[in-house]
Amino acid sequence: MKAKFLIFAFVVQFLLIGAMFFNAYLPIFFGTQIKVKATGYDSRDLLVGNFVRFDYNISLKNDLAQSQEREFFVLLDEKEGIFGFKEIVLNKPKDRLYIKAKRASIYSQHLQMGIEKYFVSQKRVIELEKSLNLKQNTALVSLKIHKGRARIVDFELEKSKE
Amino acid sequence: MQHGTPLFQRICVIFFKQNFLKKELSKLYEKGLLSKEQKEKIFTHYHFTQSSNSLLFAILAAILFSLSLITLMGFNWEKIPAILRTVLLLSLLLASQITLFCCKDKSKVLAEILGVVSNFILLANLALLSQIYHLGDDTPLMLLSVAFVSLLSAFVLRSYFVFMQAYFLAVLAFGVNLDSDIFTYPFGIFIALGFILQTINAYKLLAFANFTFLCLYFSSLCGKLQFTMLFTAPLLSFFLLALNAKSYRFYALLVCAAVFLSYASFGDFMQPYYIVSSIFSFLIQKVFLFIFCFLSLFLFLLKKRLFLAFLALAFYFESFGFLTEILHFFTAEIKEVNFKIIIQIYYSFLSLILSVYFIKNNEKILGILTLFVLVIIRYVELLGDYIGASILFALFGLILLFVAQKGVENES
Repeated sequence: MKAKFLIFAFVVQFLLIGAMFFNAYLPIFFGTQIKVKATGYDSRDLLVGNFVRFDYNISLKNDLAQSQEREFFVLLDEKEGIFGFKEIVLNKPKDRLYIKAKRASIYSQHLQMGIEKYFVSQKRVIELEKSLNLKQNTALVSLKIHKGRARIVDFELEKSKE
Repeated sequence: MQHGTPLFQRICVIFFKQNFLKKELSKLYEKGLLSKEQKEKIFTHYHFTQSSNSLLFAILAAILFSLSLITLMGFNWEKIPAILRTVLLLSLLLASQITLFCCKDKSKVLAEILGVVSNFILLANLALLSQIYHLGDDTPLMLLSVAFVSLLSAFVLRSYFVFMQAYFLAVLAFGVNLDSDIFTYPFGIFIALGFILQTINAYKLLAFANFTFLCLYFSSLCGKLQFTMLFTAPLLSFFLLALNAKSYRFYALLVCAAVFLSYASFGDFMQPYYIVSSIFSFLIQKVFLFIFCFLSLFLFLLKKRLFLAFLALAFYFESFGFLTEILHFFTAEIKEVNFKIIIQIYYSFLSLILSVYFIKNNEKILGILTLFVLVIIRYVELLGDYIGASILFALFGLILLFVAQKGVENES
């Protein structure tokens, strides 16, 4: 009897890994690839390690900031091959490319879209932060988006033409 | 606490008998009535662990090895292909599971250690996926998922240590995600289970964890934890004292002393009245709190624990604004009334009464410490002037003298 339960517990462990894998990989497999600009700085996750935190400068304004809602939809618009975050809406859009976002904390006006962390080694994260601190450099983040869920697939530094 | 159902009573009897037998066998061995071999044979027969310290050290070692694995994964071995890293960690998980399965009937200690390790390897696997696919803020969800899976393992293995692992992973998930308030409710399940397990087995560490996390959980449910804690922690403490939950008695008294002393020191800083009137803005919250307080008072009076009933009533009296109302009524015509000082004096007296209660109830160290801290606070902060502080100290002395006199009368 105990052996059966133990095997069940083992299976649940692998099921959890499987669920996590599907959640991570689904947008990459089915998603539409786009590029967006961001600024970044280095940080560390307690469990996963060092990462560059991308800031897409998306925050709630006016009525939306005052609302009690936690989940929002950020619409994307293309300009010369690079996408930008434009409007934030409460209802799920039908024919537009969008990313689901939630407040960073209960009362925060900043939104998180699950594409803020780019995990790299400690050595590389310091190099990247140095480069991103230079005014002429911006981060060009490649994303895959599927049904409002986005994943980072690549990241490159872009030098400004000015 | 009273336990209702016959099944629950049976479970309690089984566990308590086990603990009793274990202690008695150790005593008999120490007295030389049992040989080491005999003791070991009986221990093996009842599946007891031979030395709880050895098991604890082994579990701590397992936790450290697991943390070593997680930090190694955190290094981010970008040069090794992602698939290879995933396969390596998955194989490690499978290996730990197979080993656990093979040794589950041979050694309970090893099974518990492997149970703890396999849950950490699972966590490392999830963290690796998060690292490879650059997942956003999934850390609390990851911790909570592993906490639930660990809970399942704890029940299958009937392991206290695996349960504690699940509990602390849930605590971490709750703590990491405190601002977002997403995983608040599931944490309640772990606290409830913790209380049940502690009632059955009387684990000291679990009692401490239960009390601390219940205070944090309850405070976070009532609003922003840092604002509500100074009111909800003593509220819960009085409730646990009213229930006569012996395992939590010391912590509850300690919290009451700490909170009363902080109000005696800071006065109007996050005063309970301010918390109740400003943070608990909904009527239903206030009604709930009122019922909670009333129930505690009722239980105190039912068991004729008048000292604690008085302390609780004095705290509620101030919390629900009755003290402020009375002060406003009597001082309406006086322009400059320093309410801060009045609150400081009020809680100074409550702290003094609490210290007397400690000493009378054989918590002498706690009692002397509370009185000592109170005197230092009042000596450093003179409550405006030397005369005021001098009168206050004299009053403190008079109260203690009165208590001593009463004690002599009772003895004679």
